[in-house]
Amino acid sequence: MQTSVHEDYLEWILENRIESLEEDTLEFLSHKFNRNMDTVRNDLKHLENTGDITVGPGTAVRLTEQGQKTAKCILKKHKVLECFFTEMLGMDQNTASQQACRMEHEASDDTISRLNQYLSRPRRCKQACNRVCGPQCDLKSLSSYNEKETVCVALIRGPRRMGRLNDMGVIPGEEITIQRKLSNGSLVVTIKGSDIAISPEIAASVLVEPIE
Amino acid sequence: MKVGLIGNPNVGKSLIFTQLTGIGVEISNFPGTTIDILSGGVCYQREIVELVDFPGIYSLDGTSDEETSVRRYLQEENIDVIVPVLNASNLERNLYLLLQIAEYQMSGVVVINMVDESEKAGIEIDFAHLSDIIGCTVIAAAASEGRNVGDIIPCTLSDARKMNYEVPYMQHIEAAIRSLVKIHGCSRREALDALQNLGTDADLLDSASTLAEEIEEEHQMSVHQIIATNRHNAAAKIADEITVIKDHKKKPDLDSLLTRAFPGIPILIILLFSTLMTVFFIGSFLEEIIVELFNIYLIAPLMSAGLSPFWEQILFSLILATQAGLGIAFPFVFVFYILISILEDSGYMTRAAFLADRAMHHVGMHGQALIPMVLGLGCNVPAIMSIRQLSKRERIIASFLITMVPCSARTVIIAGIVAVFVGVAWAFSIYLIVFILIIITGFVLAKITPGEQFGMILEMAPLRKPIPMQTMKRAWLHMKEFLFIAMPLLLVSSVFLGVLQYAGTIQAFQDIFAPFMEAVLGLPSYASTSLIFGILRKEMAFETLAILAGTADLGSVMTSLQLYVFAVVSVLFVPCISTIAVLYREMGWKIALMVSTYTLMLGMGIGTAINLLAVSFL
Ligand SMILES: Nc1nc2c(ncn2[C@@H]2O[C@H](COP(=O)(O)OP(=O)(O)OP(=O)(O)O)[C@@H](O)[C@H]2O)c(=O)[nH]1
Ligand SMILES: [Mg+2]
Repeated sequence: MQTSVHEDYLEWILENRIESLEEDTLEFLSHKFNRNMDTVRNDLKHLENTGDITVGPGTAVRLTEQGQKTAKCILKKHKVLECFFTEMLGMDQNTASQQACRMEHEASDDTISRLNQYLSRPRRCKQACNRVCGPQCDLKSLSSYNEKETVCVALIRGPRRMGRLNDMGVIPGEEITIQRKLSNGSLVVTIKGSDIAISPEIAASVLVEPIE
Repeated sequence: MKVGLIGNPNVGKSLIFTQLTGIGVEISNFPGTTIDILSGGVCYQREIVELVDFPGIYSLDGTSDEETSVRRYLQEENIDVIVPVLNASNLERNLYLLLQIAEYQMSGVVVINMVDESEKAGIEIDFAHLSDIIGCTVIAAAASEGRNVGDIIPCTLSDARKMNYEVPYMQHIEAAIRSLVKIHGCSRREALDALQNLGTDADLLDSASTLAEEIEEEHQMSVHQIIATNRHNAAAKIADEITVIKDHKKKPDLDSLLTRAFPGIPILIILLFSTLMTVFFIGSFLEEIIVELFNIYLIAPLMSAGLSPFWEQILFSLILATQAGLGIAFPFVFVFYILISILEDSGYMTRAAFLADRAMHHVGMHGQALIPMVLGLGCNVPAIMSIRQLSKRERIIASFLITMVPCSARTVIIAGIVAVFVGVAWAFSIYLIVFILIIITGFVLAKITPGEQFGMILEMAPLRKPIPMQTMKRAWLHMKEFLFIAMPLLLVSSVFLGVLQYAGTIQAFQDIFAPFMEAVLGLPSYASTSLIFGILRKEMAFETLAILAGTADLGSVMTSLQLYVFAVVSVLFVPCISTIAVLYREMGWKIALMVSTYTLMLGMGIGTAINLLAVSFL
């Protein structure tokens, strides 16, 4: 069995919250993936053998921790790609979904996270964003993090004077570490190897996301 | 030939400049020491090279004052060889500026400074490889040890080559550059500047702004941000190629003490307090010795020499002036500058600025303004020059507050009059009064000054052990100014005063002000003359007081209250003439006038209040 099919099974189980494998579910699967019933049964056996799902007792089925992880990853890729196709390229939902289904297996994690970052900027991917990227869109300002946390810059709001921040290395995608945070909100952060003190109101205009 | 030293703040440009030209300039361990573009000559093998020291900048397309002035200089004056100075222990961020400089396509010699520190930190740099990438010679230097600094000038003369690195920009930017270059026949750099709305060619700016808008719409980022990102990425790539971090040595983490609210803030207060205490104690100890020596060896012989009254008066004034100048100002000013230099060189100032940031917001400024305020403790003139880094609104507020900061000349008055004749605690009470007045003034100004308030973005200077030699040199730099500008002024005016006093003119002048001085401030009539002289230079209020009172032992001719009131008034009232001049230059006559009037009224008002209160309650 190809990895892509393997991943599709897991994704499907996760997305549709499948808890048991009745006869009609198997039929549906064989139809969906265009494989005969026996192959489907074999495939599921194989999934069990690789430790991605557990079957039984009876018809019950569950994703193992490992399976869950793979499934989630693929599902995220699917949604990010789909979001990109519909919102940025203006493709219709169906085609977008089909395309995403194919590309999700090939796209690297890095590609997807960059694409996601690109989509996460405000005014992009308006409603879709909340649905698709979920918590990813929920950018928080630098001032909401604590000492010793490392975060990734997503966006810098504010006036032209912020040019100084860009020049010092605060650019989207850059990692910064909070060295010190006073109770009044003043921060010392490490950017590109140098320590920079910033006022709370400046920190508030730098939107960041946590590093996973 | 003209050679320019350019680079990020605090990388050692001014130290290199001083070592090459022998001209003493401000060197200290915080970003933004150099404010004005300064040049000096170096003679090498019978050729005169003009070396230019620029203020530190983070970028050549920024909009701050120093960035604008450096950019303008590069574009308008003919610099033959550019010498970018980089900090070896922070190469990546420094390369960002280098890549921008390379876009100017000038011949250059790159200096990587502070290799002593990068070596200690276990960073290995492949200088030859950098030289290949950037296309010109790279010198590894450590200015504090003088290592390889001597190679810079010979290298600029014989081995300067054009820098030829092009940052690969994102395709849309590249496309925009191509079309601008094609249509307007400008250079790649001019096109980049125009896309960021910099430059003077209206046509070019016009087409660039259309392109820029499109790009910004497409990417939802400002063009500057996109360009900055591309440059940073290129810099990161180069830094990655040329540096190897050998072993990661842990430095002692002093910052965990210095930048925490506790114990950071107590340390800050103790440091400032003990600085003043030390100045008072060492200063008054030295002062007593010097005054005593003058009394025994000069004044006593003069009095017994039996000269004509005219000459006796003149010579007496001269000796008293020298006594006051050397014997009183010298110990205080010198000690003060040594201590301040130690504080600055250690890198502590940026920590103090960070701690004070929030508090400074209450008086309408931010933490970075603390540095000029502390510099103001030395002399208000350079302090006011260094407020250029603040925004317009903050500059107005800072003009008022800095002029109120007791500079070293005023410390001389406080220490020489109050600490010596009234008591050290009373001397501190003057600082307290001034401090409270500064805060109140700040509060009010923060409410009424128009304009927007920005926050602070301040790079922390590395903590270093101050080098005694360098500290002494800096203290001496300030002393020189005192000795060669203030002392002659003091001597001339003392002769002048002596003549006037002999002729009785002073008496006539004082008679006009006497009633006011007596009634409101409770001061003897000659105090008004000294206060006027205080406008020339603050410490002269004290020195002329000694001359007019006829003795350096002021305690014998004035009461403690009189001395105290005199000190308060002369500390607060009207900045000295150089401060007014620099205020005029930096901020315009309106602000200069407002500040002078305000402080005049404040000084008189507070002096009157203290006098009347004391008289009615004691
Ligand atoms: N360890 C070490 N310290 C250095 C070296 N060069 C300069 N310094 C120190 O770095 C600090 C900054 O030096 P400056 O010459 O004032 O720096 P600058 O580049 O002129 O700074 P700005 O005027 O603020 O732009 C001073 O405290 C110097 O003593 C070096 O090679 N090694
Ligand atoms: Mg300098």
